[in-house]
Amino acid sequence: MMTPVEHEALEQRLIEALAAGEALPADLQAHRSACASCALSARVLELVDGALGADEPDELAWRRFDERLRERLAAESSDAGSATPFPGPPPRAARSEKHPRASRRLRVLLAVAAAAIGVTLLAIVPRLTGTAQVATLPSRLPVTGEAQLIERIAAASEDSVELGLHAQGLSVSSDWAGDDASDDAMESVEQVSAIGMSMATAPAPAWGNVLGEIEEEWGLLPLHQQADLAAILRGES
Amino acid sequence: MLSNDEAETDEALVAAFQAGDASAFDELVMRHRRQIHRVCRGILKSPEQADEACQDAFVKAWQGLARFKGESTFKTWMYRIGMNAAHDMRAREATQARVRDESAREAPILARAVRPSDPVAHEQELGILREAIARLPDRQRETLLLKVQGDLKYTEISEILGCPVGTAKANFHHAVQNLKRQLATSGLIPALPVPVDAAAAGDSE
Repeated sequence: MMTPVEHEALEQRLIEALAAGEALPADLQAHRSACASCALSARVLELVDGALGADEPDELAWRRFDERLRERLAAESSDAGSATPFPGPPPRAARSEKHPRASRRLRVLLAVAAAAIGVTLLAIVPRLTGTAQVATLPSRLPVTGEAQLIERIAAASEDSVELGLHAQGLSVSSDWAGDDASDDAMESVEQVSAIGMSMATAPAPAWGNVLGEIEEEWGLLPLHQQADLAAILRGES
Repeated sequence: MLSNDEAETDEALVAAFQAGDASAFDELVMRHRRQIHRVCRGILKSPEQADEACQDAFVKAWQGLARFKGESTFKTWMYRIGMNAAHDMRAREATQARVRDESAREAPILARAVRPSDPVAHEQELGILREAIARLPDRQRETLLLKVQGDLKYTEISEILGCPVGTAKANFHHAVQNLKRQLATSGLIPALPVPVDAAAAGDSE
């Protein structure tokens, strides 16, 4: 008689093999035939696979998808005249001009500033969790530093606290960090600083551009609150 | 210009793109779009939303690929972007849904494959399944999608979702068990048999 633990181990092996599309070894095949519970697990996986592929695009639709993607990338690219199937990569020089890389000394200063921001955020998170409020920002951000800026954003929306925490490098993808630094957190501090300074000094009409830069810099991070943040900064909520 | 060698690795294509060969991105899109689309479809309510999220994901990948350092594989990196794009789309939709007339949706980018033999019952089945998948806790649903649709290893899933490998395994197992219960309740699969341990306990009584 198989124990529950043995059964669960077999079932786990079975569903993993099925999910991976692997051929089942003899013991799993026999178990699948003999065990109604495992047969149902296998059936569930088949159904899931079928359901997700049921309205998959056909070849013609994929061609339209590719065309639309090319159009979008061409619009993004400064190399719109490229004859290649998709436009070339965005020019790196142009990016670095927008956010000139800080010197090592400045980075250290920024790290200190980041630590201060972190402390500030940690202090305000508990207050925000109970009373999420939405603030309307003035036509020009009356701040001069990234610490105040991020604090204001965080204070405007509970969700945006996550942005602030991301800004501390807590969830930053190292692949999305800069080119030549080994310290991911340091890189993210640098990015946040550049963004923060841009936002702090930008007049209201330019916020759209600044937000574009934020999306560019942070677009690959799990920032599910981008839309909310954009609305807040535009004074729409 | 790259050859169309199927054996060219993703990493080689990334390197070629970073060196200025734009056609390498074309090949990367071709390789991964179907899986990314499926994962987006599993997170979003409609195929049209999945189309948009998949587009967004590849635009973001294109924007970021020049700075991709290869510390993860391109595949896991791309899945992470795809999932983030789908979540962002879902958040945007939730916001916009409050003020948008549902009937004024844009035309879909992608036409669906024509399936003349799809009976109504099949559509109902699909609806039940999608609802069941949508009711799963986020992490279970994401793990299920990556495992079933992405054919990813647990180490890759843990990297994408930022969780330990053991957690990914547990989430996948729980997702399957959760779906079994839901689908049995809805009548899509037979009722669950009495669990082994419960049966054993019953025998002993």
